[in-house]
Amino acid sequence: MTMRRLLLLFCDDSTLIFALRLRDLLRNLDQPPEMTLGFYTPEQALSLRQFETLLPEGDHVILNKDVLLTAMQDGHYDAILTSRVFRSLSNALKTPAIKHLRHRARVISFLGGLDFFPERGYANRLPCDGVFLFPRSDLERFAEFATAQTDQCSNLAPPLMDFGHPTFLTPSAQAPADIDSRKDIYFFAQAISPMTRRGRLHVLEAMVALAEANPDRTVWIKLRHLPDENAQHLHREKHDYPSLLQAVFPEAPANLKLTACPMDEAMQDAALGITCTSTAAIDLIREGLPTMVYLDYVDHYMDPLAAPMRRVFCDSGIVTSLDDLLHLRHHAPNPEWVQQVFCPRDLGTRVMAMLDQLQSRPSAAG
Amino acid sequence: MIAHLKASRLGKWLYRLSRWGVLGKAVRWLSRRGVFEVLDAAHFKPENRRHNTMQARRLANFRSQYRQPR
Repeated sequence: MTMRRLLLLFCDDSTLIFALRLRDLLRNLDQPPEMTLGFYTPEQALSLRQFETLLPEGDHVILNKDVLLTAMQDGHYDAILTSRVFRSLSNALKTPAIKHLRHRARVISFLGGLDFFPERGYANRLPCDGVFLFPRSDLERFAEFATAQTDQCSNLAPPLMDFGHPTFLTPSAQAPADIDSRKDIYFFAQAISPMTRRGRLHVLEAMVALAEANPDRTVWIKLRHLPDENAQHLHREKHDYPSLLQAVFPEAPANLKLTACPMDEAMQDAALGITCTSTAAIDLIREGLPTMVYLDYVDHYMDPLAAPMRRVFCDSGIVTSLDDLLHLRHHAPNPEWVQQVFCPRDLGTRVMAMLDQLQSRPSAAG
Repeated sequence: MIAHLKASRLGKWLYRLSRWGVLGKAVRWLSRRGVFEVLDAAHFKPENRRHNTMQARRLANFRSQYRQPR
């Protein structure tokens, strides 16, 4: 069999992390495909520091709209894998002449993350050839949605579906071997949750309190990005933690520190991870680290993501009260919930199997 | 939040104001300080006020046990 050629798209830190994780998974297959990372410039939101940190080898190609569409049509790539279905791609796939093109690259999309308002995400992914979804319950919902939509529009065909995402792999059965010797507590910040200044100050004060109560441990605020980065990102930060810390807690203890290191690096040192958002929580659970999801911050009712976040995590067992957080009382995630949300670790094999199935169809549109 | 604010008449007026010379600069500074976020009607719901007060008090009580005198 000839080696498959795949194009993995990214445009910002979230999509780059997705692409790197998927590339790692596929590289570990018995017959790894040839993979190219493609940076889509019309929606770019990455600083030089983020490139240097996340993609030090710089082995990506640059794609604008026309180059992307050419890459999809010219037969060089077998598949385009993406966690964001860019409008140009989606529009092209809605065009019958392109959808039906025999030798074009098949487009397989994944969700960007836990999707609290999935209908728009479903609609964006419907024109794709294959879709990977999660949690498990979303497969049935998407199938119903796809059937209803394709019944109304003959230019659409329901995509193949499977369960999974490279970030949502079944967690390690055991915590890291050195977990008992670790001391560092990490708070994983995010741009828009909490949303208000008061909410972010409350969380910041909780971290100051933890640092004061635990002088023998380091409390890290792990920034998603530096204040001047991600200005074009989907989630734009209004009140950044470094500025708030400087303005309101100038005398914070020395064991409260800020870092913008990569997530994987932080997880190698963390004894405990605290977060208000799903992405970091999922990473922590997957790596078998003690995790607290804190949603009871001040002004939580102003945050449009807080209620859906609570709904998705209500059965997880890791939603933590302020008292438990301050006393570092954490709980193990509920195994049934984990099984619903996290996918089997053979995801790479299933991605290639989906591509086989798509390519064996008599026409690209299936 | 921003979409929510922009949808209101007050929000639209504030947005227009934020683009007026020196006055706009002042409005943008106040916005960065979170001044307009506290104008939302949701803050005045009793259960929300209770929640915020309780969480702030819990945190303050906890900190009072450990805070070093400066």
